[in-house]
Amino acid sequence: MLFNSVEFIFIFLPVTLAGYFFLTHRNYHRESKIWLFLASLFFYGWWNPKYLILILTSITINFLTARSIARTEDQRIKKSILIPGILFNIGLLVYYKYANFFISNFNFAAQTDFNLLNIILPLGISFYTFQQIAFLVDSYKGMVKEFDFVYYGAFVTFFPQLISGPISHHKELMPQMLDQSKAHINMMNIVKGIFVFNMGLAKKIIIADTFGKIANVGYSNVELLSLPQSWVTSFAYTVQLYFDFSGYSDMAIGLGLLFNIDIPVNFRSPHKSESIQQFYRRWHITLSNFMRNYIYIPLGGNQSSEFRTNVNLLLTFLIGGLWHGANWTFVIWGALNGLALVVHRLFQKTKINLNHYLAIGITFLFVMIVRIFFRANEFSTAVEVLKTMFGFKSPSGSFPLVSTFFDAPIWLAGIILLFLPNSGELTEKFKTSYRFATIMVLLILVNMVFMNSVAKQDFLYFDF
Amino acid sequence: MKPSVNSLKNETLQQPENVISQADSSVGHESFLAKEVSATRFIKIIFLWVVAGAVLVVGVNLWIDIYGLFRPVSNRSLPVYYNERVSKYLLSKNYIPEKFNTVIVGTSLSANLDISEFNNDQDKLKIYNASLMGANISELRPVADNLVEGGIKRMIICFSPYMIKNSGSKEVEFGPKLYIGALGSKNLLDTYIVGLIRHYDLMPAKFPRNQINEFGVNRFGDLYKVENVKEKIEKVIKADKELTVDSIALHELQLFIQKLKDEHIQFVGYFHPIPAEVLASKRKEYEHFEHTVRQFVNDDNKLINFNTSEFEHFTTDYSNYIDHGHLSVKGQGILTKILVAEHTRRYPL
Repeated sequence: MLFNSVEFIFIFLPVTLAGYFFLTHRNYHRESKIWLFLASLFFYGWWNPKYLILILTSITINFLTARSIARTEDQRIKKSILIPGILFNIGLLVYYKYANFFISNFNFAAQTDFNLLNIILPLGISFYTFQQIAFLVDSYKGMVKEFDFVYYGAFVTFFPQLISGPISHHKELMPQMLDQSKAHINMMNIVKGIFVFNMGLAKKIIIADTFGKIANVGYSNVELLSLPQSWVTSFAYTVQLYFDFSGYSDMAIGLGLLFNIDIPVNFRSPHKSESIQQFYRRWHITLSNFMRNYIYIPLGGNQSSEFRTNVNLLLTFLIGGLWHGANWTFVIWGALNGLALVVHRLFQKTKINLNHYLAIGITFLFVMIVRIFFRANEFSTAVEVLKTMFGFKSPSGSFPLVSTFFDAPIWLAGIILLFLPNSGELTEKFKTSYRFATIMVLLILVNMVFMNSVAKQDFLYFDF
Repeated sequence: MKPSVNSLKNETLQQPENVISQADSSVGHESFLAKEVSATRFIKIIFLWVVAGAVLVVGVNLWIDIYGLFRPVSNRSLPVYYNERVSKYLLSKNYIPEKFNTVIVGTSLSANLDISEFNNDQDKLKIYNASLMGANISELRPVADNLVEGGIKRMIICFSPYMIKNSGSKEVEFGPKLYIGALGSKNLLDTYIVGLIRHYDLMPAKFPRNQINEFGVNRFGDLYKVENVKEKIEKVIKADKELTVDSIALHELQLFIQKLKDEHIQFVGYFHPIPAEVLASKRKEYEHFEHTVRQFVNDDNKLINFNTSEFEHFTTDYSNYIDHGHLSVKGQGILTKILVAEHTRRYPL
């Protein structure tokens, strides 16, 4: 069920909200979480009921493992429970996400012909697996005090963040779920939730999908792209990805607010960043936090030699790349980003201060160019786009990348909005004034018109 | 350290409703837009305004009714402004069956057949060209289904291998959502914009006025006519593009023809006249296609083949074409006369 679908907005959401607050209103707090848990499972099962077994198994095993760890005093025993727990999660991810990648690479390297497995990537598996690894590790560290299966299940499956994040940490969400003062309906949060949700919806269905049309046409006709068209295609994808994913995150945050749950912010105007380091502090923040806390720091972080720090950075980004998908293009994308961070660290030592706008421009260009590996289905496609962009290849024919210019106002709005205050900043300014009422009504009406249009594109991060 | 969506969240979560309500009375000096109201009242306002706005949007679109879905169409002439697939699909729901008794169905090869002159008031024949540019059979079937459901009993079908080159809808998903879209959607908005551009002739080179008229005739000839037809034909032959057959599309073609037979549609199918040189270069493929269609139709009386020696004078005359297949005004004139005459002869009105 997509957040931008009619069945979600007009049926699932009102029913879930009504049921939730009906129960909390009567002080059935635990029952309200059971309701939320079941509703979230229904939301997940709408896509493919078969995978409900998988997510429920994953939740149960992780919960029991974490509880066993917490109940054990002996550090060695704790560790001996933790490691299989983590391996279980990684194993699930490897099987569902990377098995075919390994088989095809093995076939290629060993000239064998093993059949690929018929596996469909379960929606959101990368997100809920990371969330649960964090839960296990924190249980091991003694940071988890409350163990209640219902609350834990409601936390992992909480539908606003289940499919594509933000990767909410149990420390952020579970206390809120347990907090009974947050259980009752709060009109201000409802208003804000609707506002944030609609901003996210507009980002997705108006801006991202409009830029997505260009990117899709461009990437489907790579051999025909001219030099300017290859730049436009790459640019369109960069804008699409930002508005698509940050739109989804906004919708998740807005939905969370409706339930009085504060879901962490995932984007803070990343394209206003002056460096790649700053960029990753503003882009997919919850993933960056996870990578930092559970990969980079355990690897040693920046606590040892300069060389070791750089290796840790590279490794973290390589893993980050692979997390996004089982393809060498993602590995290259991760490696390029890791390298860029290393170069940035070295550059910082020169004490050279770049002009603010130049720094933003360089960062944007770098992000845009390496994202070609992120978007291209194959390495050769990415190389072809890059060759065209830098004048090493001419198109084999001509074709119109953009057939009409009706979307020009949306293109312009999209580009401008990259550099204007973000939705979090706008939410902070939000007041229940007639000015905001007007903005909100227009936003809702425009969203309704766009929602009623034929083409509907999935969220890009559903693929990860 | 967690970045928070709204640092004012803490305060809002704890903020009692009456604190905000107090603001209501203290902003008398402020402008109307800056005036704050309670969250509950705010929601009520939003709800009412959204409902009012939606009613207004839907009301305006019902009144304009650009596809003839909601109001009587007997005295209306509805051209296609934009997105031929969506427009003709929606027009096929009510407008075409209400106003016409004969319809041409086919790809771009028949989309420019100008049958406007056959629609004189005194004639019983009311003919509409429902052909779609670049369409495959998957896209033609929903339009034809609507027409049959609407009561159309007479059809002229242009059979060409392009119908089965691929399958599935390339641009739109035909179905109920398109009808709802006629009440307010991005496509409708685009259609209005192009409608205005065409009406005021603002971009004649891209959106000429009356390009697809109220009889469905797509006058794309002026836009796509090549300067040297002979040269274009030679180029196409040299490119030697394969005429692929999609198995799903082939099955859909069979279903399409079967439906026409089941519904007792009085149809005449024709094999579009291909320029002689193009035909010669792909004779085997064209003959195979013809053979397949003949098997599906199983009644040679319903089929006309314009690629026989009888029509060689037509297919060897470049002036009948605007490129390697689409017909010029002259070519259309000859073809439509034959088609309409044959259809009327076989199925008198």
